[in-house]
Amino acid sequence: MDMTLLVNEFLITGIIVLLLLLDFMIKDKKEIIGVVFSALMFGMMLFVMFFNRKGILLGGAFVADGIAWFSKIIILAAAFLTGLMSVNTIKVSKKYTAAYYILLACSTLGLMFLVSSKELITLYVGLELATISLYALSAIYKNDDLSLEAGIKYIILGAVSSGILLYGLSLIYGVTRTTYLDGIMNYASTGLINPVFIMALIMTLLGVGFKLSMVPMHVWTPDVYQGAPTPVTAFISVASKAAGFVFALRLFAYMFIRLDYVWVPILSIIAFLTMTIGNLMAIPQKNVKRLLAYSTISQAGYILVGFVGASVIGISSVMFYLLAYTITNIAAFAVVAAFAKSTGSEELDDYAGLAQKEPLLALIFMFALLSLAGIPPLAGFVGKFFLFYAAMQRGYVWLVVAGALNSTVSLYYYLLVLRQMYLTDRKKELPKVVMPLGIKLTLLITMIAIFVLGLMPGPVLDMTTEIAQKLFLK
Amino acid sequence: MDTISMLGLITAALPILAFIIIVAFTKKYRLTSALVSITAVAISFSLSCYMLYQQIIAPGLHSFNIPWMYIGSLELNMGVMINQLTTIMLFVVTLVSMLVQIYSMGYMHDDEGFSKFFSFLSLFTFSMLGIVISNNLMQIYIFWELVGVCSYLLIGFWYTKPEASDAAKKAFIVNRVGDFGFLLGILLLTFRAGTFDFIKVIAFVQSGAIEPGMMTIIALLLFCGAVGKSAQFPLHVWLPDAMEGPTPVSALIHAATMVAAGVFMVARLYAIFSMSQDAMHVIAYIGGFTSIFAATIALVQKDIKRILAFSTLSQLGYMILALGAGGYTAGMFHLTTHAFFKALLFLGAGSVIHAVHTNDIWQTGGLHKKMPITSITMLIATLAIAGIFPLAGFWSKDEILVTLHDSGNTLLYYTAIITAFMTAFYMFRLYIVTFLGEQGHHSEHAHESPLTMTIPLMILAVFSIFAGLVGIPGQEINISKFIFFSESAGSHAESMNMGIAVTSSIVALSGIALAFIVYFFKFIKAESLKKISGPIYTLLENKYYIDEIYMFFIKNVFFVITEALKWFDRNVVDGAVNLVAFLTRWGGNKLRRTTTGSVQTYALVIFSGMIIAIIAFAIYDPEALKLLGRP
Repeated sequence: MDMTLLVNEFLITGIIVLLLLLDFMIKDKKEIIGVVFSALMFGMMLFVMFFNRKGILLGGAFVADGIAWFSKIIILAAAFLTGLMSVNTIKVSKKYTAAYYILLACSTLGLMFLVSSKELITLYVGLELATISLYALSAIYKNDDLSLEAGIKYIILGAVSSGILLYGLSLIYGVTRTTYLDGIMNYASTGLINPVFIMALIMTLLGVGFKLSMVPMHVWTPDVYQGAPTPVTAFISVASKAAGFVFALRLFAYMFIRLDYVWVPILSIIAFLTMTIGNLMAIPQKNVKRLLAYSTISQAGYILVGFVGASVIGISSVMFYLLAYTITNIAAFAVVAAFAKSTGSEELDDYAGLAQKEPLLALIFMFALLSLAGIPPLAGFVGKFFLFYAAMQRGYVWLVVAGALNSTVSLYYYLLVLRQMYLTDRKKELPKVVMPLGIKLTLLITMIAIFVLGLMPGPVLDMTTEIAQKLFLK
Repeated sequence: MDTISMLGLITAALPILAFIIIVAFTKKYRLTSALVSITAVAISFSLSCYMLYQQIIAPGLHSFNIPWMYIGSLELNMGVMINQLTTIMLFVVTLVSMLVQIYSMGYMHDDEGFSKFFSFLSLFTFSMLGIVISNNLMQIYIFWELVGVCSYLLIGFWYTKPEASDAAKKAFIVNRVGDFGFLLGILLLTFRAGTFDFIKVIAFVQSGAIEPGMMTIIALLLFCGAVGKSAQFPLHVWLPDAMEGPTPVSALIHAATMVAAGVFMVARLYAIFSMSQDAMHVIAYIGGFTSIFAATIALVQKDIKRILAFSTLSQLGYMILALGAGGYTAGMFHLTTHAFFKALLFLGAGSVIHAVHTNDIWQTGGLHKKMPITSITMLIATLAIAGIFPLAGFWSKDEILVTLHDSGNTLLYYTAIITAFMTAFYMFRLYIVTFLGEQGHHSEHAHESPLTMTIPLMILAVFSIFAGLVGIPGQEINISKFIFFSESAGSHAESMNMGIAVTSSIVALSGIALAFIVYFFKFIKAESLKKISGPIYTLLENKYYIDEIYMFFIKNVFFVITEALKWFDRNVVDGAVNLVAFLTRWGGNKLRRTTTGSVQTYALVIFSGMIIAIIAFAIYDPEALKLLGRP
């Protein structure tokens, strides 16, 4: 047993302990904990990037492979940027500041386990560790009704979805007598479709769908995204979603790959519904966080289009898009966090005339939104193009048509925001936006990444293609 | 990489360099910014001239590729492709852009955003040049979108004007509708051909590997892109509104960039379009319809820029019509000559607006004496667009008419003839009302514009006179030989068809005569014409209510759907919340104060979704699922 494969997870556990100790040592300047957290997460990200060990552990339950490696980088990058934008931004009392970062670290740990496990129980434990920490994080603004409401809704609906997922997983176990993905794949490859097994497949899909905010499991998204502290929203919308997609990749692109004729049509319908409902519901929104929430739903729909490809191109573009989406979405939420911190508002109307007062902030928001809309040469364009290409390759022309139409519709509401910022005059006087250093850094890093990924997607695409090829070789 | 393609790359790269310099360094220094931008485009222009000369003495294909990314077996390159067609376009785009920029120094002189304006112009020029030098479908699409973004920035330049910001949004979104088809076409084509590269794709298509039905679909989808960018019916609605932007921008959009992109793309991929006769017919009819449709609207407009905008629509329709009827040479030829006189018309209109501060032609009049240079150059452009011998427009229009005549489609031929008549009429209506006749009350203090504005007018006037001579049939250096993209790409008249030349001249002259009778000599009162035509006049004045129809559709269908969803969210979901709140009044439950949805309803949605999915599977039929796509 090569325990060094678990070194990343051990280190994160160490970081959690360290943060706990820091909480006792630091009495006043609790922001330091946030700085330490961000720095350590950044360090971890570099460590994972360069310490790229591959192997299998615990009889195949824990695996360090390309997908795990790539998604851990995404998760740690998200944790790092979330920490960075939280410093001096979140309005948590001193007593809970440390708890905030510790919970964030716990959730990160859970997500890292989730993406590395190839066994149902380990998967589930990782998932719950990640999600339970997020429940608490969403409700951490104790005096804010919306935040509490978000926490409660998240817990209840999360429990419902966990129930569905567990039911699906136990049915899988009941049919196959194994909890290891490899064993289940062997069963699924025999080609005998057992109706119970198909039902298990559907329930598992829906259970995972909760994390992806996939229709019909998307209902919690707007309320939780709106109520949770903005950096937490950013984290849920990217890290948790990315890990959820990796979970889905392991299930569908690996475990159920021989049953693709079953799940590809289902997913094509769900992908269509997810992007369409997300986009249509985003249009009438007046609250920026709610608008972005619906936009993330539609983004999940686009990513599912890549799943429909069920091919090397499909999976590699899913991974590429996850990275592009993570960076872009964090940038968008960081702008919202900065604006809300100074003005106390998340209403779209209050963004009027932002371009005159804060030209840079407005410009960054514009780039983030245009990248989400898939305008070249930004990161979102290349990703979306290949997602559609993959589905086209499989013959899902109607889905690609729907996807392209959807991205036209999405442009409408992204432009509504741009219009507020650039083309409308300020209606009421709002305080000047003062950005803490952390947010400035977050925006700087994400902006560079959006352009680099958009202009030079080659290296990353090579990497994701290689990873996807290995996945399919097995 | 050879010298010519390297030069092509530099030509396109210089404007983006200027953009970066202005944004990063010289933003605060107005004059420097303008000079940086103009210098860059001037060098690009000289390089284009050199490349054009090289192509004339030694025609050939120069290209190179830089690998950009690989995904699976699909290779994506960024590259340059220079051939005769490219150099002609490079020449036109850089020339018009340079003149527009020089002109803008005068026109935008007092504007706050002077530097910003030049940076946007540079970016716009860069995007257009990017389309022109592209050697593959992906690259052309990226620059295609970038042109859309730039048009958004430039049309909405005076964003404090609500009309301008609406027009900018409209242009962007309407174009995206067209781009959506274009992207699908590219995806379908690439998917079949396995490459983005123009030459390889064309070779693949010409080998007949794609079945005819599919070929038609692909060609029509690609054409959607041109319908958007070149403002063909039914996506023409953005172009007339786009004149809300500063006039130099209108000149650039209407003459050499943006709208030219669509026609250029059809020409570039002509070999693909010509593989499907059905698609070619659709293209020809859309072009023909747009040309006559827009010409009728232009007859009654009173805003000087709006008249010109509809004339652009009409002329673009002409080009598309020519391309669809098999006249590759004719379409591109008209694009070239049109670029000169349309730029001249818009810049002249800008000069008028600059002097009289109104767009309404009825409030001007008698400007000939006050602004002689503007007036004379405008007259040249008006004669050119009307197709009077021997100006540029005559030759290219003649070429189109010959093509139509030879194609044997009488309906389209007569459509073009009638459109030519209307063009002559409404253009002279514009000229007579604005420059001749009695002085309007806005004309009193008018004076000639500064030299920075009039010199570009004079240069363009020279081109409007002589540009057509390259296309005279039967001479040795001839545009037809020059811009042939491939052997099978189209026909060109070997000698002049005197009958058609005479017919078109008579038609144009009678249009002009009618304009003089009505608006100069006033033998027939314009008012009585208006009365006779009655409802038709109103219909035309309101542009056939197309905008209203679209708005009706958007308001009553699209927004109704979103409102219905919102209603569901607010009422069904919130109603449930209120019910819960009522029932738990004593509980002091937090949920009572919720403003959004209730958990119960959400859980209900989740479980219903699950049950639907499972039921769907219980009655599932593998055959039915296959309809969704290949398993």
